[in-house]
Amino acid sequence: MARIQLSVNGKTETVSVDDPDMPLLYVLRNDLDLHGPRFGCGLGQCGACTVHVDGEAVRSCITPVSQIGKSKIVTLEGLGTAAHPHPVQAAFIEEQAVQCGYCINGMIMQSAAFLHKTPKPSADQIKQELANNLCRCGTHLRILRAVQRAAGV
Amino acid sequence: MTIMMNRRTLLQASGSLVVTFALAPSLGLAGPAPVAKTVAPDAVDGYLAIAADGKVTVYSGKVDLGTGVRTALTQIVADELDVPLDHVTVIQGDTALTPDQGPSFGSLSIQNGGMQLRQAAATARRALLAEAATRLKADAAGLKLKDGVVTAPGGKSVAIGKLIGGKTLELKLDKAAPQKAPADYTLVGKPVRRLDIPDKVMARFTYMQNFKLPNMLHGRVIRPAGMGPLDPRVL
Repeated sequence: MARIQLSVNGKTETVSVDDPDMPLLYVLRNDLDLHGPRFGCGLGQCGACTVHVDGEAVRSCITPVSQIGKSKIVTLEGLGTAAHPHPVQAAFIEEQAVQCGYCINGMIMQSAAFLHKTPKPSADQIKQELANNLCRCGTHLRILRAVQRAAGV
Repeated sequence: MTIMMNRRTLLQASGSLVVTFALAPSLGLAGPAPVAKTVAPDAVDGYLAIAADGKVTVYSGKVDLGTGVRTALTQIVADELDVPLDHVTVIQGDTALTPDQGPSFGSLSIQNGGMQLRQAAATARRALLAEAATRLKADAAGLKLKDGVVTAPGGKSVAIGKLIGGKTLELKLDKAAPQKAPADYTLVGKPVRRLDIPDKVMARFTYMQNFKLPNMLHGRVIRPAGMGPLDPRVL
C-alpha cells in the first residue's frame, strides 16, 4: 500500500494505492468522490473519463495513477464553478448540448483543452478533435454548435 | 428499510417536499397525522402534493434515463395546474413515494405516464376551483387560475396553496375532469430549457453509478475468453 500525493483541481490530495497500475479514474471517482469523469469503456476508446493533466486532455481510465507524479490534474469539477462556469460549460448549457450527459464530461474537457491551443477552430477541426469522444444519444450537432459558441466562431 | 424510513422523515420535515399534511382547520378535523404517502395509481395524492406555499411536488413512477422527461413532466403538470414551472418539483422512481406506472421504455413516459399526471393535475384543478368558488363566493365557471392564483370576476383572489396546503385531496383520478385544450397550453409544446443540464455540465448531477450505500458490494460478470468456459475458480 503506497501513499501517493496528487494535485487535483488546485488541491493536494493524498490517496492510498495498493496497485501502482490502478487507473487514475478509479482514484478520482472512488477515493476523491469526483464524479465528473466517468467510466465508459475502460479502454480509452470513448472519452467519458477525460481529465486534464497539465492542460492536456487525457483518458484517465487507462492512465496509471503512478504516472502522474507532480502533474496538475483538473476534472470537470475544477474547470469552472456555478457562478463562473468555463466558457465551454456556459456554451453547452446555452446550446442545450446534453441528452443523458454521460459523455458530456469528455466532450467538455476535450473541447476546453483544444480551444486553449486552437482558439478559433474550423468546424472540421472541431469534428476531428472530438472524433474519439463517443455519444450515443445523438447530440453531436448541438455539441459542435456549443464548441463554436465557446470559441466565438 | 432504515434508509427508506430516514428518507421519509427527511421528506416530511422538508418544507418544499410535503408528503402528508396536517388537516386544514377550516374542515374542522383534527391533525396533524403523518401517515405514509399513498402510492395508489388511481389516487390524485399518489401523483401530486400541493404545499401551503403553492409549491407542487410531483411523484412520477416513470424515470428519466437521460431523455429529458423530468422537464417534460414538469411542463405537463405546471401547465395543467397553471403554476409557474419553477414551483414544480418532480420526484422520480422512488418506489416508496411514487405510484407504479410501469417500466420506462418504448416512448411511454409521456404518452402514458405524462397523461396520468395530466389527469391527476386536471382532477386537482377542478377540486381547487370548486373550493375557491366556495371561498370566494363565486361561480366556479367564472374563475380564472393563473400562476397558482385563482381570481374571481370581481377581482377577489386566493392562492392554491391556501386552498389545499395542509391537506391531501383524497380524490380518485377522474377522466371526466376537464383538461386544457392543446391550443391553451402555455408550457407544453414550448421550448423550455432542460432542468438537468446545468448540473450535468457542472458535474453536480447524481448518476446511478455515483451511489455509494453502506455495505454496498460490487458485482460484475466475468466472461470467459471463448467457448468452453473455464471453472470460475481458476479464472
